[in-house]
Amino acid sequence: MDKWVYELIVEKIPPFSFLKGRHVTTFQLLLMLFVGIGISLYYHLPFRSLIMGSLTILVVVIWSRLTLIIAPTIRAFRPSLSEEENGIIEWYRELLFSKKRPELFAGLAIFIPLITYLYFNPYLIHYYLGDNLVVIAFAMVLAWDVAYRAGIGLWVYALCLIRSFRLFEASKRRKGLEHTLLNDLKAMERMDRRGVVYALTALLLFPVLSPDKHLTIFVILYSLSIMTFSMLSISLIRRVPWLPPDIAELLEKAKFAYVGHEGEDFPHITPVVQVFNGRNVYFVTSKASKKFKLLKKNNRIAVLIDERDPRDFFGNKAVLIVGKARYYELHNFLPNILKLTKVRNLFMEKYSQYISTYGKRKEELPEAWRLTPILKRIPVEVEPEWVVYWRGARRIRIGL
Amino acid sequence: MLPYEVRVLLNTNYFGYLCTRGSYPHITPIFFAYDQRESLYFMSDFSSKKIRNIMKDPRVSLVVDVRDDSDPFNNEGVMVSGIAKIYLPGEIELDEYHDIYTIYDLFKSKYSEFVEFENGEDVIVEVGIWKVSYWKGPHFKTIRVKR
Repeated sequence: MDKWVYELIVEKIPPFSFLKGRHVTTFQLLLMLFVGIGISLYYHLPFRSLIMGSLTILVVVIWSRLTLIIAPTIRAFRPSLSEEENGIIEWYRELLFSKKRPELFAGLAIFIPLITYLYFNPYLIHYYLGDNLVVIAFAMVLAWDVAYRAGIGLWVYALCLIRSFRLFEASKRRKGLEHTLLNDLKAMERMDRRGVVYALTALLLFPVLSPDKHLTIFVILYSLSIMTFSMLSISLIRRVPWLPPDIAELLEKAKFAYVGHEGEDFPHITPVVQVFNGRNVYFVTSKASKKFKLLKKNNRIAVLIDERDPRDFFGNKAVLIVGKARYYELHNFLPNILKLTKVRNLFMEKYSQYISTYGKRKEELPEAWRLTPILKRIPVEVEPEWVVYWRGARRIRIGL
Repeated sequence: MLPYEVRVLLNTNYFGYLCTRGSYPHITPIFFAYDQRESLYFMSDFSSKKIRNIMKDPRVSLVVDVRDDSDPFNNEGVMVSGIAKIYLPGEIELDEYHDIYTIYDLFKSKYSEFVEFENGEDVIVEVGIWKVSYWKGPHFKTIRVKR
């Protein structure tokens, strides 16, 4: 796997190579603005050229920053635990970072038609730059910077969409413990969300290109396509299950779970009833419970879900889900009402008998246990951060 | 002495759920044995996450419970909290051998079919009980153990 040309420039060429993280792009912004403003003042360009030039520089720098976040994320994906899905991710990475530098071709595919168009319709050039060759040369460099990054955006997000689609299709064929790592799927989703930012950034070019109708339409179409690619990709990647079918089945079947918390003087662990909606695990707790008080102080929790068979210890399965808990009270209940209604239905389905016994013997319950949803009983969501799975208990080994 | 109901639970259940502290809490199902006084024992691979957690912070809790998936009023359980002590295989003092054999016997009588005799990397962990919280249906009580 290779790096993109821009990444190599930033990595190898001083002074960029001395800088880290966002300082790289901040420095790039200042440098480009300095040169740009310098040129426009020296050659007495109109004020509009200075403003629109700076706006273009801003677009280049935002896209650069996004590029420098996206590329390492993609390279960091670990091997997937499903052969088919792994093949898709490898294929996708290979295309993005091939030695043939496809991102340069994508850039050229935008730059060459742009230059040709400007050669035959030089209105925009006269409007901003007059006929000074130095100024035009600088503008062409800037145009290449824009086209190169626009090419990367198009290439990255078109491939993201195909990747998401193929992963989604492949995930339907998973068996047993096959899956793509949870954190990689989350990283893909985050990356696709950045696509929305990428698309919106393109719209900053709208005022710059507005004197030319065709280029304006082009930039809008460009922004719309990146937006569409990334939104579709998000919706597909969100449908790829986070957990392998074996674990999902256990979560759906197992009625009890244990919730663990670091507690106060000692760790705290209690049994709860739980449901799983394909992504997160939910349990319900009383506002008066110790668990809830602890959760408000520290939201890091562990949930263990297992299937135990007293006749056959070695047929046992257990899954530990570790992550941050989020609870729903009145203020954040409404915005999530659809999700929470589904969760409530899952509870009603899974624990119908349980809930009806609760209802019948309500008078015997302490105040805190009465089922007053939201006001007293609070749904808690646990988004998995990492997951451990055991199958079969280990024998007890006694050393002699 | 622990209350009768708690001792019954600890003696009649095969699985316990142990919660240790780490950067995140950690839970594992374990087999355990109760010495009828104020300690519980379990065995674990030395390199396991729970042992690593205990070495950093020995405070642990263990839940042992009976559950009824049709009637919540039949749920009964206990959360035992205490301080864990690890017996490393190479560093057992002479006067501890007697205790170790007693613990092995406890395991043998409780889990006879599942015990195998083999020298491994396993360590014995003793949990000295400090506090128990017992529940049956909607009723709770907490008992502190004087140590």
